[in-house]
Amino acid sequence: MLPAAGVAAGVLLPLGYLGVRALEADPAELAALLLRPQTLALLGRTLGLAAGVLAFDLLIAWPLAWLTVRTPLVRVPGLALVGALPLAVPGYVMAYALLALGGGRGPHLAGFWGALLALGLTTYPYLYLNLRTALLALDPGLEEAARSLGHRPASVFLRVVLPALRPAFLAGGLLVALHVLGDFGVVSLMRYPTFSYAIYLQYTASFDRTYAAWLALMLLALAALGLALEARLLRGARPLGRPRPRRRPPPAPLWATALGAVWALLAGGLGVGLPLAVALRWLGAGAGLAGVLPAAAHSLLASLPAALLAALLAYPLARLEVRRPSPLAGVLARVAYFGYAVPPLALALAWIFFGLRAAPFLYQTLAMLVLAYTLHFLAEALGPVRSALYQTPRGLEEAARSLGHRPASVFLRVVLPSVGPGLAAGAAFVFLSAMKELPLTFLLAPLGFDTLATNAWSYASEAMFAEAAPYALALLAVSAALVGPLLGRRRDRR
Amino acid sequence: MKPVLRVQDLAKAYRPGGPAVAGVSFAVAPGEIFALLGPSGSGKTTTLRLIAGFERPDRGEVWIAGRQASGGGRFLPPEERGVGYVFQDHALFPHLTVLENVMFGLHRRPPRRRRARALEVLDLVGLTVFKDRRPDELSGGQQQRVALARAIAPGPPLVLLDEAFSSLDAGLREVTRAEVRALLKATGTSAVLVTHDQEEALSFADRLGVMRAGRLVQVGTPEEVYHLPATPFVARFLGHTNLVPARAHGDWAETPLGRVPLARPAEGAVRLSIRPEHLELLPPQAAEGVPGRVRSRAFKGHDLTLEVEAAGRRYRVQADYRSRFFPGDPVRVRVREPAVAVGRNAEAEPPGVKRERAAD
Repeated sequence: MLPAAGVAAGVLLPLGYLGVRALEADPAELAALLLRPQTLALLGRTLGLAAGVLAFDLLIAWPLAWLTVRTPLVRVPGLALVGALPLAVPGYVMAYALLALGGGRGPHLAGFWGALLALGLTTYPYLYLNLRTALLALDPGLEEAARSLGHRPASVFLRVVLPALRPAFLAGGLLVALHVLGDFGVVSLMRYPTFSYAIYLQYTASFDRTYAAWLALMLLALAALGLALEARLLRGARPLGRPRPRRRPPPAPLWATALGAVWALLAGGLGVGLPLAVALRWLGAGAGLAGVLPAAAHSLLASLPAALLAALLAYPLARLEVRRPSPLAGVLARVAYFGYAVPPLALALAWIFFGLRAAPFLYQTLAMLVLAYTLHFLAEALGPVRSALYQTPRGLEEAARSLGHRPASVFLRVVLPSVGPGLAAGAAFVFLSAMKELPLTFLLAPLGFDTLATNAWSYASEAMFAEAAPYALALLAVSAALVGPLLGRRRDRR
Repeated sequence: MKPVLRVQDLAKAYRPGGPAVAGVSFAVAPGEIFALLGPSGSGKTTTLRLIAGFERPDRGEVWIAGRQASGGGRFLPPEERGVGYVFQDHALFPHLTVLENVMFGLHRRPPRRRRARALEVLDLVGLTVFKDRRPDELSGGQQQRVALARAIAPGPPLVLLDEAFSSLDAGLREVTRAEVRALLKATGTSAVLVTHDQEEALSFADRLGVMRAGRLVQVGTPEEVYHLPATPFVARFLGHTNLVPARAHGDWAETPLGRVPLARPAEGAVRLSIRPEHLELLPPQAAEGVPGRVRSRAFKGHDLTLEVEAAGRRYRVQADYRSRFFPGDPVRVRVREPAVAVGRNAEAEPPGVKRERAAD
């Protein structure tokens, strides 16, 4: 219970300071500050980008999910993985690839369309994986029942399949929307000012941080609104029916199978191949590699402790939720998920205000960066640990106790071997996210603490594409090394 | 009367060499309840799916209410066959209420009549009070009845039931079965039930067909199939039996248990099926029967099963609760009903068939 309470405090306290800082503004001044057309334009651009990316993702993810589940491709091992691979590419690396594609000369994608493409190509797997899981779980008997009741295939699709997939659309869509709201790297490189970008500009460019605090608060409200909306829409959502194993690959015309294969290879290939090819080409331009090792060391120095700490905190939290479910345990878990949904720039600002006011000894230290990483990404570690715990029946522990083992011995000899892989996967997820994290690193890292992520972004934002290339490649390499096994593990569990 | 369903030489193979259904023919009369009985993998569910139009046959014809639904280059999609289907796990739409589930198949009726018809059918299955619930708020038996109501609401001449009762627990199964049968009879709806449960097939169907390896082995009324099995497989699949080698001479046969009358004339070396309840145990001093010894005794409440060794073979004997014989007791065994020749004695059965019962 104690670690759980600590996590809740760690998530909520900084956000409280964000509120305190924002409320210090003079009310009259505030109204003028907030009700500017500029704010409204920010809102419009942020929502517009989110809507555009959602539409783009839907166009890629839905056919991909359908074609790889409803054709014999469902039996091809690894194909599902190909479609999910772009998950390994940080958005700003994709943005860099799109900008560097033209080499700075000639027309290149920037602004709204550039941001849309970069975010779309890197976020569609969230929607794809959700839809794929739901489609696999969808009882084929529901569709057959509807057909035998006299409904044509189009009517069955509208009246049975779509309603059954609604939770998956919502869950995947929410992930994408939160990602777009929280994105800083892509919109800043594409020079498309949304809330996150504006907060950064306000924070770095002006001494008055009140407006930045208020923008962060509004962004936070937007994210909370998304969460609430999803919860509301999901109310009354029902499970998909008892899934029955498909006895044989579904019959499908050959063209659908072929299209599915092409679609998966194209989406995955574009999402991973494009940044890889562009970065490799610019690496050939021969910029110095001297800075890469220190930056990589910095990245490791911040990400590894965060990953370990997250796994360490995830275990008691998940255990509380799984073994002693109670309303309080549920609330604490929700807080951890909320910390994940908070847009990183808002979170970074909250930590800064918290550090300045309440914990000056932490301000601009590595410890603060590690703490912020840990609490932000904790939810990613919680998932695998929780499912590992669900797969370890309580009876195992009770059996070990009844055979004369003390609790410590039970933990070492029974719990750890079965929960260990879940802990490792959770830590790996957090490590990967922390390595790629940009805005938190920017605002919270000690002075001069360059990481792979910040260097890749900095060079790219100066159009120094050759200099950015080794950092982008290093990030891709780290991601590729971890994402394959992690996604594979996810598939095996099914 | 013209049959509601006629299936002619229906065949379907999912992979080469392993036919799921290999030439099945039968017909179902209006108002008749037909059961397809067989072990898992015998092709009975595939046959049902071919009738519903969920699968395309490789060969053969399906005629529903005088209309050709499959075969001869024709293939009606499921939605144009007008056949109700009740799934093993009910397949109720989780996002719709009970009433909406039942109204789902009424979309071709005028809107104001849909609700009235759905309520009428819900009343038939006694679920009117649950009309606004979601499927996951119902018990298994209630879900089963909603699934049936949904299937019969459009008024199909034929309803297909795919292991429709097997997800219910034993007590509920028997009650629901009787209710469904009464409902089908009351509405004059024909039905085909697929099941692996011999008791279910015997008590539910007017006629039944026993399937094995994609073929219909025997079709008849429950009494015919039970009392006059055509093969050792059918004899064993419909309850316990003793398969006894014998030499047949027309309407009687010489067996290790003495001379036994035959229900069906036969000649030469044959195998006889003698049901356990057709054997009788007598005290050792009795004049009839052959001497034997009781090996085991299993008390089952209303009756009991004994295993008896006689003339070098073991026999299963069904006795009533008053039986006074215990393991070790000497007895005499008598055959009290005509036996049935179910094949040549030389016939060897493939391994694994011997105790083939509904495993799942």
